[in-house]
Amino acid sequence: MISLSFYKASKWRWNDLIQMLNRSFIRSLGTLFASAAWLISPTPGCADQPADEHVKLELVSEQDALVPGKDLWLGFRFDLQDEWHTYWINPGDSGEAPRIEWQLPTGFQAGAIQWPYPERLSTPPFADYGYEHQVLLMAPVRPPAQLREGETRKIAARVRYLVCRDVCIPGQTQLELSLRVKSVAAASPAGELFRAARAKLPRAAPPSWKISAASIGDEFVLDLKTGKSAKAPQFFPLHAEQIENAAPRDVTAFPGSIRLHLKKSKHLLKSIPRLEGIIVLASGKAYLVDVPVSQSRRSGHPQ
Amino acid sequence: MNGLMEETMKRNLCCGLVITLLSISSAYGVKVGESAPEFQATDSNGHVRKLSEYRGKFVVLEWHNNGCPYTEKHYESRNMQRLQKEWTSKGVAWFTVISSAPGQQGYVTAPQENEYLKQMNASPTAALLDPQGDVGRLYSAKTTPHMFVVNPVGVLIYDGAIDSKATTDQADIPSAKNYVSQALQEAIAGKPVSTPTSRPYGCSVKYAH
Repeated sequence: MISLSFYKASKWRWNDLIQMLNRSFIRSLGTLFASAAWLISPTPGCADQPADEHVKLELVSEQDALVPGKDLWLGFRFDLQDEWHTYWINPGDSGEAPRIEWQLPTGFQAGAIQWPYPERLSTPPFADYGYEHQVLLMAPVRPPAQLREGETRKIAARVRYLVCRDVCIPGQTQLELSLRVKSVAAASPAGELFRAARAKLPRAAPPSWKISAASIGDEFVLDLKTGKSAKAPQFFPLHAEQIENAAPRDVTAFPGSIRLHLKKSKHLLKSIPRLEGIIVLASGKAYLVDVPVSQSRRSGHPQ
Repeated sequence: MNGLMEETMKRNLCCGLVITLLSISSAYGVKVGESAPEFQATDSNGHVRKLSEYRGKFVVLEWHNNGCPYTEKHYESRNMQRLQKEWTSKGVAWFTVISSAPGQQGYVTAPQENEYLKQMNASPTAALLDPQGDVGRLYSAKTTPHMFVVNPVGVLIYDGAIDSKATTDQADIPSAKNYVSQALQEAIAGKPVSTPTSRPYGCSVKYAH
């Protein structure tokens, strides 16, 4: 269940702070006084970075306590200012997905981040995949079995992220959360956030569905036989540079099935064995797609 | 892919112009292994530069926006300046291209750009001002930076990121694989380019809407 996926650790550096200050504060305030004041009293890992003006970040727990040996869901809650966005695991044509660097107590293990399905953020000639308003990036954390009731453990993480509107600002924030060890945990006040986020996680497609993909000329043709008519499905590729993110999505509905025409990325020079991504139906449900790609007809691309 | 590239290069030697015109009309804009489309742009010193004038040389195109944190990563670390110096000293023509529209982040006038180059100690062959975004759209430049390498017969041999670490963190530069240097080194040695494309990373190019 737990797959460990730690992101590369990267230390906060004094230079980063100076540059960030140079970049935004000095330019925007334009006063020597402000810059001098900032340079004299830096607070590494401070909450005063410019990116923080556009996003509030919080580390929340689904439950109010740690239960020894039992998985606990923690989440990174992004509350974005209107018009600003951050990114999905595949950010699309620009941008960068948030990166989490856990700082866990001894014996604790964190699993992979679960990414809710994104929105397609289209600003022709580009399209990005990301989140506006709020998103919760959740991950399971398993405490060791040997924990004493009544003790407290501090779980911390550094989050590096990029927020963009028409311009982009990188940010990093140190977050922490202390939880008591109990034999039984109850839902925390943040429980509802997790329920809402889970509804947006891609799930396995029902076994009755038949999904297939073919490489035909300049496009991948993705067929979903669901037995029902589905309106306006959206496909989000898991990997960058397989399909043209900004190309118009051509969808044909047949009785009981849907066909999506996905234009290949010009950066895709080799054939791909599998097409991976998620499909989101108009109902708001998302399903995992991971199917072999059959090579039909000769492609116009160099192989 | 290599076969195709050689074939295109041979064809291109005989009839470069025809292929150039064809590729301009291609729906894909530009594609590695094909002829890099001809463009004309005015640099920050008022000179008109045409890609075709650089036949016989390798040409690097670097999309630029001085306010973008990904561009800043490579300029404040001096990585970009070092690459410019290294490759132009080896006879490569290096064009910094600015496709930000007036009013958008990264837009500069010619004197502002010259001031920036001086301040940053940057030494591209020239900085091309493309406020209408014509060159950018022709090449489907997506991000800043977004890098292209054209070989001496005018064929595009690299289209993508500057390196393998898609972050804004300068600390990632030393351990990243620089795809531009790799493409140039391999092509100069007569080898096929091992990574001819990659996902360009950075801020979106701030085109006029």
